[in-house]
Amino acid sequence: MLRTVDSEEAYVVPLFISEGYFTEQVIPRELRLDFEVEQWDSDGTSADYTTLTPADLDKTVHYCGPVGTHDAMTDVIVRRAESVTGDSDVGDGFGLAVVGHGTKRNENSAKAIRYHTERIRERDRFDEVQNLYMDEDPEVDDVTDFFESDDVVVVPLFVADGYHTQEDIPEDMGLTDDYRTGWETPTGRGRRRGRRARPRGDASCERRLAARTRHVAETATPKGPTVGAHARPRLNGGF
Amino acid sequence: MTTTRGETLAAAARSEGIDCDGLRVEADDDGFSVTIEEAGVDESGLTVADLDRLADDYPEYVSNWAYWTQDRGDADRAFLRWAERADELSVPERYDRLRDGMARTWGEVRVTPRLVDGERVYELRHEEDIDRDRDELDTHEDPLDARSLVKTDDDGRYRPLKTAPSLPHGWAFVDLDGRACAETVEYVYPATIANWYLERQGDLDVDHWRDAVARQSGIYGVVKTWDRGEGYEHVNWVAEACCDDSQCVKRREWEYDDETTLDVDGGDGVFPCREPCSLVIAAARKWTRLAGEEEQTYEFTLTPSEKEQVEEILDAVADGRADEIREADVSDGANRYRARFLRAKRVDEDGNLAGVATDRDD
Repeated sequence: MLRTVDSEEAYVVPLFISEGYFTEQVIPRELRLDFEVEQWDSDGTSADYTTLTPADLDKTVHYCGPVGTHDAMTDVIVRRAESVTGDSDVGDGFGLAVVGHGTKRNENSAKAIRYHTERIRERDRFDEVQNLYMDEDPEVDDVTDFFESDDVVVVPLFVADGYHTQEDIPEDMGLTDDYRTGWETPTGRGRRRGRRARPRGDASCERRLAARTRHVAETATPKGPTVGAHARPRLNGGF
Repeated sequence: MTTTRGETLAAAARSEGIDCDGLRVEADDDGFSVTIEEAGVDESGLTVADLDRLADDYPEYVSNWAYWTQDRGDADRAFLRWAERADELSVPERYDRLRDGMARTWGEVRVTPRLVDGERVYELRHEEDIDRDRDELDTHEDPLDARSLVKTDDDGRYRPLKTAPSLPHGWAFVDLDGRACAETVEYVYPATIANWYLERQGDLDVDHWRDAVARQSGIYGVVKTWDRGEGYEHVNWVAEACCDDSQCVKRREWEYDDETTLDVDGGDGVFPCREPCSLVIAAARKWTRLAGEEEQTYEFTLTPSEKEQVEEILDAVADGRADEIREADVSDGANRYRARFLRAKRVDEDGNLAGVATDRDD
C-alpha cells in the first residue's frame, strides 16, 4: 500500500497491542522493508521508530512500534474505566483488571499489558490493579481470585472489539455461559456495579458509550467480588 | 488586477513551455510561438495580446492545459485522463462529450467526468445504477464516506475482498474534483490506480505464486508444501476458484512462476492483480491441508438424474446461484425441494451419501 502514498516520506504505525511476530516479521516483510528487530532497540515495550527504505519504492519509511505500547495507552485504559462506570473519578473502592491476549510463544505480548498495569498502579488511583491474560498466567478465568475489592472494572486491551472481547473473555470470567444470552441481573451478596459496554465501530464513541453503559444490564459472578467486563479502549476516545 | 489568460500562458511559456494535448506555446527572442495542429494554428512572433486573442479563439485548449497542469500525482492524473479518453480524443471532441458527461467503468464503478460551468466535476456510482436518477441515490461528497460504504454488500454482509463484484448499490459520490474522485476510487478499490499506472508504465512488479507462497510464514507457511515439483494444476484450480471475473474484478497477472503461465484466463478487469491476495493464501492453506489426504474409491448407487442433480447443486453453490432458485422451480436440480428429496432418499441418518461411510483412515 505504500505505493498509494504520494508523499516521499511515510510513517507506518502498526495497529497492534504488542511487539512480536506481526510487527517484527510480517508487516516489514509485506511492506518490503529490510528490518531487523534490533533496529528498534526495544526492551519489548519501548519501540519508537526506525527509518528504512522499501525494496520496491523510492521512499523514506519510518517504521514505528505498535500503538499498544505507547504511553498514551495508559490513559486510554483509565478513560475507559471512567467512561464505562460513568464516574470520572473512579478509583477509590475499585479494582482494575487490564486483560491482554498473552501467549507463551512471545513474552512481549504480556509485557505490553504489564507495562500499562504498572504505570496505572503507580498512580495509586485504584485500590488494586492487576494484569490478566487469556492464554497465559495469571488467567482471566480466575479474575476474582486476584482481587479483594468488591467492584472490579475489567478493561481488555485489544485493538478491536471482536471475538475475544465480546465472547471469550465474558465467558472465561464466568459472567455468562453463552455470550449471546448476555448476563443475568445479579443476585447474592455485595454491591453490584458491573456493566458491560460494546464500543461502536465508528468515531466519537466515547460519549455514546458512556450513554449506552448507563442502561446496560448489571452483571455479577455467582461467587466472590462483582465483575464488570468493559470493552477495549479506543484510540480516538483517549488520545 | 486580474491576470489575463494570455499573461498566464506567457508566464508558463517563459518558465517551462507549454505542450499539452496539441497546444504548444514557446517563448523566444521574437516573442511567443503557438501551434495547435488540429486547429491549423501555427503562429510565431506573438505578443501577450496575441496570446489573449488566441485564448479567446481556442478557450478549450487553454482550459484543458490549465486543468492538466494542476499539481497532482502521476497515477491520479493518468487515471483521470483515462476517464475522459484523453489519449484517444482531441480536446474539442472531449469537451463536446464532457458537456453531456462521459463515462468509463472501473471495476463495478462508473466514473463520470462532466463539464459544469467550464470546470471538470466527477461523479461515481455503481455501474448498474447508471440509469437511476440522482435523487434516488444516497449522495456523498466526502471521499472518506466510501470506506464504510463498501464494507458490506447489498445484503449487509461483510466484504472481505474489496475487489469482489459485490459492491453495494444505491449511492453516488457527486461534485468531486479530480483529487477527490481518485481518492474515492482508492477507498473503493485500494491501490488499483497505483498498480494500473505502474502496469501502463511497464513497471508493474508481479509476485507470482511461487514467490508469494515462499514468503509466507506462521500458519500460512504450510502453503509452500503444496508445490511438489509435480506441475501447477493445483494453482490452476486456485485461480479458477478465486480469481475468475465472477469472483474478483481485478485482472490476474500473476502466474505459477515467471516462466510458467497458468492455463486459466486472467480475466478482463481494467486493473491488474499483482500477487496472490490474502484470501487466496488463506483458502490455499485449507486446500493444502485437504490435498494431504489420500484418495479413496467409493461406490454409490444413483440414478443418472440423481448424479446430474449432485452436479447441478455443486454448480449452483459454486456460482453463488443457490439463493436465486425459486421454491417452485422443481425443474432445477438445485431447487430446495429437489435437494431435500434427494437427501431424504439417498442420505442415511448419519449423513452418509447413499449410505456409504466415509471411512477415514485418520
